[in-house]
Amino acid sequence: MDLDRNLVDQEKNNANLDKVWNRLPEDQKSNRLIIHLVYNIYMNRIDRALDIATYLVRTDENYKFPIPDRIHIAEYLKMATNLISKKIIDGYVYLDNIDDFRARILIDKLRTEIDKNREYYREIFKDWLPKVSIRSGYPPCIENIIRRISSKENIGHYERLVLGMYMINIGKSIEEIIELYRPLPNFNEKKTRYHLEHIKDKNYKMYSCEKIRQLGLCVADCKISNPLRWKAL
Amino acid sequence: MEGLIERNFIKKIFAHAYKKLNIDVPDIKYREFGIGDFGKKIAKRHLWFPDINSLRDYLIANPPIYISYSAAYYQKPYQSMSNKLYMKSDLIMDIDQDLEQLDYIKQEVVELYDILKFEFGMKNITINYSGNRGFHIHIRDEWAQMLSREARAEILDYLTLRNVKLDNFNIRIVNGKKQGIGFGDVKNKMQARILKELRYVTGKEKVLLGDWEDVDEQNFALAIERARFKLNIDSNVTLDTTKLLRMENSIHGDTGFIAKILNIDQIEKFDPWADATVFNDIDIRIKMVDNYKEYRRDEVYRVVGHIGVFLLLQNKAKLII
Repeated sequence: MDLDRNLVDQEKNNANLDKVWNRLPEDQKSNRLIIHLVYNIYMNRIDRALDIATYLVRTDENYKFPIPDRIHIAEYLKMATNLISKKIIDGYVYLDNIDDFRARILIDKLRTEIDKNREYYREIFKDWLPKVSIRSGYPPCIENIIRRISSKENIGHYERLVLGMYMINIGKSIEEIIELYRPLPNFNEKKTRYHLEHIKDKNYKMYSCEKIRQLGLCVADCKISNPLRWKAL
Repeated sequence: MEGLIERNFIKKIFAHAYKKLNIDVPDIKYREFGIGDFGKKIAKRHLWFPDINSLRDYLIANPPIYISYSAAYYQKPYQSMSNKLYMKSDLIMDIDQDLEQLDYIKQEVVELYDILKFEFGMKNITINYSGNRGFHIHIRDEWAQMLSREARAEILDYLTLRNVKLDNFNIRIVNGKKQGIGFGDVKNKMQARILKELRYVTGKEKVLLGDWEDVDEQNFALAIERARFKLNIDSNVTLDTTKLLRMENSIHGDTGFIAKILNIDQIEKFDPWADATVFNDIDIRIKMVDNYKEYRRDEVYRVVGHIGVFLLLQNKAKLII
């Protein structure tokens, strides 16, 4: 999918706005929103992508998005429940206009396309991530995970894994690393130690920046290819 | 069945019957087989047959008392469970119910078939009598075989109306009146069943036109209860894709009936005593050890083969040579 580079450039400062659709000029609004949608799918920020997509399909009066009005029941069952409220005929589930489900189909279609050509989207959005101004401490993705843990957020599996992987790869001791996880609401010292030792024993390599982006954990443009290459100044 | 004479006799006539039964298992080389002996439905698992002829030869040479095979396809069906390499699995509805008591069960099976065929668009549906109680439905459309456990659960939820609430029905107030779905705008067959029962429980025709004035939480719950399929579909069998199921057209060792494949239009008149028998070309002499229907204990009878086999397998009679 070709994005209008000029619009991409205009929108880069809106990259991290909440409810971005309320802040955009009416001129080419849906084209602008598609850019934000693609960006959030590319960065794997699925909640944000879903909000934008839902807005788009609900206001899509000109049927810009070729979302079918029906999908095969096997596809439907992969993503949604509540068959009882749907029209079902001969293997197809018919979708309502106000169906959040259409937003998911839109995201799914875009994701397939984005994943085929991540290099291209990386180039397009290279200026969208915040520039790194202070090069200190750990790389921004790791700092962000540590910040989220210390604010007692119950972060997901990949966040935990990436943090442990990074710390082990830069040579921190298991004891030091365990302390980083301590504020987690479901902190369990034994389990944490077990997982960290597993990472160490199996000699897990640190994920690349590309993989970190795919996991939705990249937060800044550091101009490096692997978080291990981060050099604090 | 304890007696050695009876056991040998049963084995011999099972082997004979397997010469003429029409045995076929789709994609046999991907299936795990299990066979059972007297009193034990599955005695050996992880069996494998490369093609249908090797299975037919086996059935004649070593007639099993029960035989079943996996709904699942495996790359290595003969390996232990953890090494089989699951590929996909037929979608199964195991309807476990006493046929004699319930004529409407057959009616319900026909309605279920209509949903599978016309709503879900399934084309490769096989229905067979289980050989004892109930029916099995095997669905082998490729997309259905690929369904996840969650998707299979969702299909069951739809058919059994699990968790359906009044809130799902988008009731609007139009000119101060409660407006729900009417027959003009039902979206699927389960909604149609609900609407029909709402009419019954409220006693009002107007419900059918979408006037839900008299529908409340209580009678809605009652209508749901009546509208769900009154079939005892064993959800374990649908959801656990590693289950083994009675092979179609095989002989069931509890009854001597065959697990006969049925066309949908044969279901309503189906009677195992007339339609699922295989030993009706021989006579057997038996002595009753218990009363069963018109047969009295300690009496000796000459009966047609399928009745004799049934009485032997049910431990109601002994064989007289």
